Amino acid sequence: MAASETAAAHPLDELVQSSFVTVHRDSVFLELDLIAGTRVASAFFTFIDRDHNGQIDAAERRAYVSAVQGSLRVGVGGRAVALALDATLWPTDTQLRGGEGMIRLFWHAAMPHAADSDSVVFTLENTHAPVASGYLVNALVDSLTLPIARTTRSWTQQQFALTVVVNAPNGTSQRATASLGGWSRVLPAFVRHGIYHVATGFDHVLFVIALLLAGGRWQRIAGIVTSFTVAHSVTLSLAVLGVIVPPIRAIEAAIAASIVIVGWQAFRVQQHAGTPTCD
Amino acid sequence: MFSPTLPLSAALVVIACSSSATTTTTEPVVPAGTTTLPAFLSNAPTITSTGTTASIVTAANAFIATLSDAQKARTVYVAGDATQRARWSNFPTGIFQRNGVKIGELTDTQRAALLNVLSTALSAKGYAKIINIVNADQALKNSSSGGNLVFGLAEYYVSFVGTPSTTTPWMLQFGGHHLGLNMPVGNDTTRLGPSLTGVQPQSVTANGETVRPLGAETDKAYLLLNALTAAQQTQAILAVRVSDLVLGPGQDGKTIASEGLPGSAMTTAQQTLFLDLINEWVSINNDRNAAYKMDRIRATIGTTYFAWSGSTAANSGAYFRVTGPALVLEWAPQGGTDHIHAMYRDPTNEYGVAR
Repeated sequence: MAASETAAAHPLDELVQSSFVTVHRDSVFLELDLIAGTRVASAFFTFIDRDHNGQIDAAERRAYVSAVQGSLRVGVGGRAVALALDATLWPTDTQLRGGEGMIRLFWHAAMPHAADSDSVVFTLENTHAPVASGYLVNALVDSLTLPIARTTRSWTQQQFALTVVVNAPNGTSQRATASLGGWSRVLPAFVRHGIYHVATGFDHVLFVIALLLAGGRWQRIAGIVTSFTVAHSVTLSLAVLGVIVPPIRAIEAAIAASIVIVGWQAFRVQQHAGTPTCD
Repeated sequence: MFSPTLPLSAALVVIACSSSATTTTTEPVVPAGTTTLPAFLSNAPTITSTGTTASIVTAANAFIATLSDAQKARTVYVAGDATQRARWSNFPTGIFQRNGVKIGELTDTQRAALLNVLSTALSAKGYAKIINIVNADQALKNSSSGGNLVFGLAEYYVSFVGTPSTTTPWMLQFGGHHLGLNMPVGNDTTRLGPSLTGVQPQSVTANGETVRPLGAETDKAYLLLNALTAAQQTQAILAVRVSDLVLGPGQDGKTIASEGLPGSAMTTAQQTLFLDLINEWVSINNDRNAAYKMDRIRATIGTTYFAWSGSTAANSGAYFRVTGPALVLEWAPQGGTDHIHAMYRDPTNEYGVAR
């Protein structure tokens, strides 16, 4: 690491953001360590030092931590969970400005109990990037961590999904294979989850209503509803199994956009037809 | 006066000539004050080190005895000093300030005594590796301006956490840019965790000879990777970008979940390559303690994982890691092949303290 080198994609040019996730039965703990490379340390310092007086005060620290937290999306079992800040460790201003100092932020979140499920997927998305960032995310193991069945990350490591085995003895094996049990046990649980998912996901209901407004014969409507159900089940399964880790923000925006588009189409169909057709 | 271009191997010859050890080296000795690169140790010198605590304590106390009271005061710390033992880094001086005395302020006698500590504590191969890391850094210094950063041969520091003793645990620290050697010494053991090795440039030609201080690590990793079947590679390769060490400086006390391909899914021949790769780090320790540690690792090789991220083409700057019950290794190229950060950790013991 000398001043003469020119390597690209180098931590000297990056804010390295390293997350450590520890999943226990009742809580999940998140540590985020931020260390700016010497070439971006000054820009990073200025970003935090909002009043540009050369010193980072308590209010600026709070504001920065709040900004970081706002850039994190944590989910358990497909549902967003809130992070509670436990502690922050700050280096001196000199260390921070020089690229030596590491900011360490610690949160925890409650792990919702899933009595009828043998595994649960924890997801973390980090979109915090005041300067060019390099992301790292890893699961930590201690005597209380739940066994890990699967770990997936996006290429940049901004998206992370960790499947942990919940209904197994604590902490004995970090790599136990998730056992889903027999179909007779799983099917009722899936039906319950499906009803709950649709009932609490108002966007699904709106989307289907919007499709139905376009009208058509009952075969067409049945086809539309079935297509939606099958497609949604496939994507949901892929996400739950960690095969795909979609960017949450983009997906949510796309969902809203799709409802607008379908609504607009339904409106056009009705204009052309004059009256709703539900034959 | 000391000149930063004086090769460490020159001092090694002094040791060889003044000790009963059958040390021989054909390395050219570059006189102090010349502008050529320091001589490298392309082959491990023939050092007869027993690796016993008694011999290391004798060498360490002989070095401390050469220091002035003022130097001693900033070199020897209280045993178990949690701040000092964690005070190591890959950074050069200017970003990170180490404690202790640095090579640049030592007299010839003191420097010879220091090198005697290192050659007594480490294996011949480990000693050559450390010397070559230092010399590569000097080569880097010779070829760059450095700005406000201070590095090179003169900027390597030695300190002791605890007074060297055969009965009370203590720790030897030797480090500078790209090097953080921490060797906890117990009444019958020496360990290496945590220790950072790094290099830049990866390859240096000095005196007509090309030396790669950490060349074997990357060569052996590619050897193992290419010995894996396509299915095994799929399991070993994590398709992610890794910009730096996960468990570098400041990340003590953490155990990351293993990922990749476990030793249990390897053939005996592949396990042999795996162990040979691991041994590149473990064998920095003296032969006696390295053999002990390798036995522990061999016993748990089935649950020791090999993970890879990056191209599978030889020497293409990929990241890899080894995680298991007995050790954690990381190899993190910094945007290419010419600048490496690497890490050795022991999940069972950190700074001589059982975890």
